[in-house]
Amino acid sequence: MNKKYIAFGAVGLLTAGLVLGVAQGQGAKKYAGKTITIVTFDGPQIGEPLRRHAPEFEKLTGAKVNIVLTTFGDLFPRILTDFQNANSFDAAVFAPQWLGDYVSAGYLEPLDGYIKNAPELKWNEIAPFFREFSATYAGKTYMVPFDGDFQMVYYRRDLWENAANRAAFRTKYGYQLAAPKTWAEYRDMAEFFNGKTVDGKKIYGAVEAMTRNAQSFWILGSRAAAYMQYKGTAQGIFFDTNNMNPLINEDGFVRALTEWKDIQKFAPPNILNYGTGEVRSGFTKACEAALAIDWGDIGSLSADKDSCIKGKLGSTILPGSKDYWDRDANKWVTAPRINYAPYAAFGGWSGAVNAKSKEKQATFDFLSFVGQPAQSNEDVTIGITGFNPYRTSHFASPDLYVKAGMDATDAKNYLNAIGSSLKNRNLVLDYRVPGAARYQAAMDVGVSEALSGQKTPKDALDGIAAEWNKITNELGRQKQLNIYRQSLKLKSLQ
Amino acid sequence: MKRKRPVWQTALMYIALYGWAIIVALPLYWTLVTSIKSRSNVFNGPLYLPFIQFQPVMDAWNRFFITDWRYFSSQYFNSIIIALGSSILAVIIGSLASYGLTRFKYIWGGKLRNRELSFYFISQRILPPVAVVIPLFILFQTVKLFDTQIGLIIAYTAFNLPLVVWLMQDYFASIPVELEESAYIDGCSKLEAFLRITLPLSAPGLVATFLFVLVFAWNEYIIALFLSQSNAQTMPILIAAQNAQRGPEWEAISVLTLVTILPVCVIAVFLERFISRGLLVGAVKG
Amino acid sequence: MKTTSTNNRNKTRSELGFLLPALVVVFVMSIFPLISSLLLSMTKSSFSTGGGLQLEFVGFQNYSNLLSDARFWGTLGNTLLFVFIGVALQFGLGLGIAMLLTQKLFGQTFFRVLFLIPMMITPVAVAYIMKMVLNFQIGPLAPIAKALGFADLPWFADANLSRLLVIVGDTWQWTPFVIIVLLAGLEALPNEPYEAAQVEGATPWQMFTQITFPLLLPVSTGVVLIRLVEAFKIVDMPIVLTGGGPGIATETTSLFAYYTWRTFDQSKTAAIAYLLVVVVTIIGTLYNNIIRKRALEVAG
Repeated sequence: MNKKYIAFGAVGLLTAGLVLGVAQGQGAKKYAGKTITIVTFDGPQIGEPLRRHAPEFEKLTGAKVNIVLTTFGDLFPRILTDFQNANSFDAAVFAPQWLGDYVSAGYLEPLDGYIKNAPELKWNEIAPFFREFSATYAGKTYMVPFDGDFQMVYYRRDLWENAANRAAFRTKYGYQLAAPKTWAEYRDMAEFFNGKTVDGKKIYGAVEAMTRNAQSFWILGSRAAAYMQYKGTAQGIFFDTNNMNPLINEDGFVRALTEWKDIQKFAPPNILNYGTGEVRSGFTKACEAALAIDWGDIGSLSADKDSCIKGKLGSTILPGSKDYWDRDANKWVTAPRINYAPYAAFGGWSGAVNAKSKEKQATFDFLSFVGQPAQSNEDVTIGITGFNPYRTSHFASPDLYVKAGMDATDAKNYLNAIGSSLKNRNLVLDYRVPGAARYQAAMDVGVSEALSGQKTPKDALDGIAAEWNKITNELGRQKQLNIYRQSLKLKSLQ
Repeated sequence: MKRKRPVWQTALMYIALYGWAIIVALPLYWTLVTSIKSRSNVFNGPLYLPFIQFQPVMDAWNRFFITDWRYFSSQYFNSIIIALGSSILAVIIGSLASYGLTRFKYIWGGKLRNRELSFYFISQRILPPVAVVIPLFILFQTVKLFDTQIGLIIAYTAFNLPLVVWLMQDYFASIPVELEESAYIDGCSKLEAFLRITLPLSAPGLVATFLFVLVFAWNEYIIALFLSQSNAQTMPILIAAQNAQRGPEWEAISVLTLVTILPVCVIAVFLERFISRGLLVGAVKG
Repeated sequence: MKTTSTNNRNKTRSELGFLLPALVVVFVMSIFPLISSLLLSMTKSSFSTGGGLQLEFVGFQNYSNLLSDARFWGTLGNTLLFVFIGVALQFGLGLGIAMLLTQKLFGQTFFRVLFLIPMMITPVAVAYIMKMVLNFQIGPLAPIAKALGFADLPWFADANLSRLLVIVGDTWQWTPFVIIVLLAGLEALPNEPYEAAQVEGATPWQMFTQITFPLLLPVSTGVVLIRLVEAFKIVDMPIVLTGGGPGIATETTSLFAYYTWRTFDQSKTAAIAYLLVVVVTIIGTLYNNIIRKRALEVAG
């Protein structure tokens, strides 16, 4: 890995150096004496690759790069405060979901022109969803994607391939044991494997992030997506595109939340204290469950040296549904074929340039440097980066992943799942309206109330919808509606 | 208290004392063993004994002291400088004020008296810090103290002053005024009397108060988050960041916890004799 | 400003000199944030298109919204529960242990340092440690928890069980503070009353109820007041252990303010904070005027 890394680094330096040199007609140290400051989150994921690439970029251009790290929860107010009052950050690496707040306040620099002049970024190799939806806002591009975030289902391939399991499953449920195609199948499989003893250890059916102040609202989105969206990305699942009424308490969400609550029976007893971190560790380090829902991270984490899942990992697109909720007709409709709707939850860490930065070009060049294939092809294969595949080059071949330590079959399986998710034209976009963080906070509480049984799923979702309406009204319904429509690339209603 | 105690009472006392010792020590021990576990051992059920139940690895320690030392070191030293600097300042300024409030009567506009003044100090600690960080941020940006060690030292001094005033007040009150009065007769000024007579007598209290505010400054998070950026970041920010989005890195958290306790612990051990006497401090009469 | 202890101008100046630096530092550092957050609590903020943050004055609207919000009252209830149960527990344990530490038992010098450690750890790190220890599936207590049958209780689904976890964590962290303060108080007690009581043949229990406890009352009520004020700000323990869940069962008002602040709703954050200040001030004043005044009188 190290050798390859050096090789890549060298190639990257050379190409970037050449390009920069040619473009500027001067030596490589084009930013000597300049300092740029970039803020992001330290998990240590996300912070790690930026910190690692900063000295490389410094060597290449002579610029000084400061990377400032905060916790995830404090990142949003920290960036806003700075852009509002100080502009000490030249760029921030954050979730496209927050574009609603940042762009509408005018804090971010449109990057279309910069991208046009940066062929080494290979912009067109980025999967269309991230280029056209994630990175853009109201027709302009604001972000350089580093990370392809959408959720998938992981399963224990070794258990699925076991002949005895297959026979027993078939007898019990009357269909073939395979990667779950629908949420109903997912449930059956969780039930089937829950309590089974594997390698001397009792395992659970599934692990999913259910705790508060974590990722539970994204899991709910993943579970509801296939029930709610069937007409492609522009349909959206969170708000009515005509009046900004919340869809969160529609039957599709109610069903998803009810089914999700039901899964607790097949999960560890303290599942309500699981965030994504516990899910990842439980699934890849303790091998305690048959199924898991996560972003792409479990794939690269399976290659870690103390992973127990290497060679046993199956990945698949988020399960779909044989019927979907028709929100206009208010009824369930049987789908012609299984309806898949992978959910680009969170949207993937991406970099954006502060419109008031004094060093916009240098800052963009750094972001571009991190996003270029030379760097990103490598980064997406390493668990600690937290970066998941988002370029066609990333899932063209499993070789890079195998080199990074993944099992060959695991890698092939993983890239297939990523490919089929990314190519799906029915990918669900996360909501990107101003106040996204507030909508999310309301969802966080409601989901927890339902999962813990304090409220029925319907009541909890009604509660969220009421909160959402309050937020929408406070921020201006018409304004929010237009922005929501823009995010889905719909024309503005006037 | 010279009476011979029945054996069963002594036994009960030992059980209670050692029982609490276990309650305190177990989580600390667990932090220690977690810091030398591999990731999979952390998540594979309770393993207590290194070498016997699991093979210890130094990965997390290496990450702190070797791989990422260049990032950690500056934060570590920032923490030390800022905590020490602000605590010393707070103790000096605070004990002066505290002494004034104990010994002299201040009246302002016929209304504001000592009691109100000391309440004014104390009330500074009621407001949750999140309510003030953003105004502070703007203030510090304006006066160019943002992201400097000096800036954080000033902030922490101000935030810890109320504690010092509060704690020291009652301690000074317990020192007989006569001692100072005899010093006045010898021609000492008030400040001299304070420095030569009262201060040495209250040294244990000062030390204990110092330790208190040191711990608070050392561990402060939210103000540091907003008033520092790259040059003046402190350790708690690093620790808080460990459990975020993508996985609880228990072994790393354990290492960071242990290395952050270490300096304060060393100081505490060193000052232990003063603590038990010194905390008579204001704590005492409140 | 003038002083009454003396009319001499120089002396006045020197007496003022003691107080002034602290007054100036605290005033300068707090006045701007205090006033601006008070003003902020009476505004509504939004991002205008391209124009950054806009503030609009709305009077007490944020306050009235909060007062009619079930979440606010829920979190206040939780806070009061944590404060009163937690502080009572910490005081009871702290007093008992402080008494033990004066008994010249073997190992007590070591224990005096050991018992201090929890409060020296960064609060958020204490919360992480508690999260590891209170994980009854893979934490150190797992075997005991499984043997006694409480490992599989719905710790994170049941409101009261989750609250119990937060109280346990908070108690672990802050009992040391009470111990050390009370220990100091105990050591400062005069010997004479005990000697007299011994002559009269009092039992240890009588000595405790009639001498130690009353004499210790000023210190006790003092430390309880400090803990009360600080306990209202509890954030780290619930945020790490339970995230405030299930629902809002372990969400304190400070945590509510923190979550609100994270969504950059600064006006609401400031309003929550000021409401909390009102509550703490009322409780603190009541406590000071009723319980503590009594205590000081009893102690003479």
